[in-house]
Amino acid sequence: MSVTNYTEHELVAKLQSRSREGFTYLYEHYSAALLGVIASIIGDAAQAEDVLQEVLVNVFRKIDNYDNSKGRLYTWMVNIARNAAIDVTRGKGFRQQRQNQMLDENVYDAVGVETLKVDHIGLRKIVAQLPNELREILDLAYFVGLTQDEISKNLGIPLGTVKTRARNGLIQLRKLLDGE
Amino acid sequence: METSAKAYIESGAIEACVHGIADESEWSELLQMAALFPEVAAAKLSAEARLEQIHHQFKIVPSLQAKSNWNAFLDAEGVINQELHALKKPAPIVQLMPSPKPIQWLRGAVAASILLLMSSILLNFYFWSQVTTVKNENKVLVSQQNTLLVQNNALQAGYNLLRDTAMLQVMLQPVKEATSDKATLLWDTRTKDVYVMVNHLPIPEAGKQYQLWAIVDGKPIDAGVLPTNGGEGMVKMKNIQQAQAFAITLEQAGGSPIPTPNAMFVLGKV
Repeated sequence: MSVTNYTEHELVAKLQSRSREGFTYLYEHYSAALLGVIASIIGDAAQAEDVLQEVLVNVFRKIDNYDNSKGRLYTWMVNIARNAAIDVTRGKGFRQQRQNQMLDENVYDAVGVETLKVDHIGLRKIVAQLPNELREILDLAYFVGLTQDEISKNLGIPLGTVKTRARNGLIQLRKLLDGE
Repeated sequence: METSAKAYIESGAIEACVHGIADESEWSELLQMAALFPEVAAAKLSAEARLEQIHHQFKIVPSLQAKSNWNAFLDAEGVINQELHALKKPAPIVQLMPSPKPIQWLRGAVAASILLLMSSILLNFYFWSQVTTVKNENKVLVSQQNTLLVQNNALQAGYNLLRDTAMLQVMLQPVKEATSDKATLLWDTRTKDVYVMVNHLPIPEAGKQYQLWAIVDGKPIDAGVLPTNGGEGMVKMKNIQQAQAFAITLEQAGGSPIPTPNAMFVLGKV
């Protein structure tokens, strides 16, 4: 167990030089956060661990491609994690499950009842507390992984509106989290 | 703050990008705005830090199995602590003590002088032997440092090869079950040179050597023998114009014209 706290710059240098210490530090400091993200998308903490391994391996393999001009290391890793988790949800067996879920959610919308049909994990539970209009967009973009363009086509809403609602949704989400 | 920057920050566009739900055009816009306005750059960093905070709030600690799986992966990839901690500089040569001050009174002066001279001589011998020891230690350390530098250069060269996108990477995986044998092969798509790095193979007994084969139309072609110590980093093998697969077998020292049956350790398809 390391006692040091590495700056991002130091950590990236260690990772890019394939340091065991660096990759152990990475695991200890970031794996839980990443697992939370993956689980909130997949909805199954056990399966999420398999995806976590896949994500960490991906980080290992692609670390030389990372440079901080676009953003922080964590943001880059979350992007890998989200993509991996979303890919899993687009897999065959999963799609059936997901379709059933989405049907339920449509019923949820139509009736406007505030009961959760699916056991949402973590951040998704918080998003579920947002006003319907924003929740709907954020849920699809954040946890189902549809692009804003796909959401626009699926729901028959102009792309501009989708973007505005997604942004407002995140602003509201931030307020909810800050308020806690 | 510029109104355009302020408006941009308040629009939530930054959060949309950082949270991963924005499209390419929104990202381009963010990077441009961040390059133009330091406030936007700062807001972006802040949003990223907040993202990390939020995710830590909703973290799920992975099981011990997951940790073990990660360590197993690192082991299999041969990830060790290969950082060269700066070798300690050899201790500076010890200064001889300054000669003692001249004694005031003659009476004890001679005796005292002799005593002091003798201690001085003894001290000289003592420090001289220290210096010799230190010089020898220094030689050993310099030699060790040279070895490590050579190893490091070899490993660095290996990593440079791995990063070269003209290199086709073929992982050679175990043929026998439940082993962690592994080798990484790089095939230069331009020159057809072949390089191999042993990630993990059992140490061969005396008189035996690992040999690389290129499988061409079902026939094994000798691609060279590996150094008995496994080599440092990427080892250059024979030039191979075409192959559908590569394999490593254990042969007699010096290699064999045809591979020994049942002696294959790892195999990888191109």
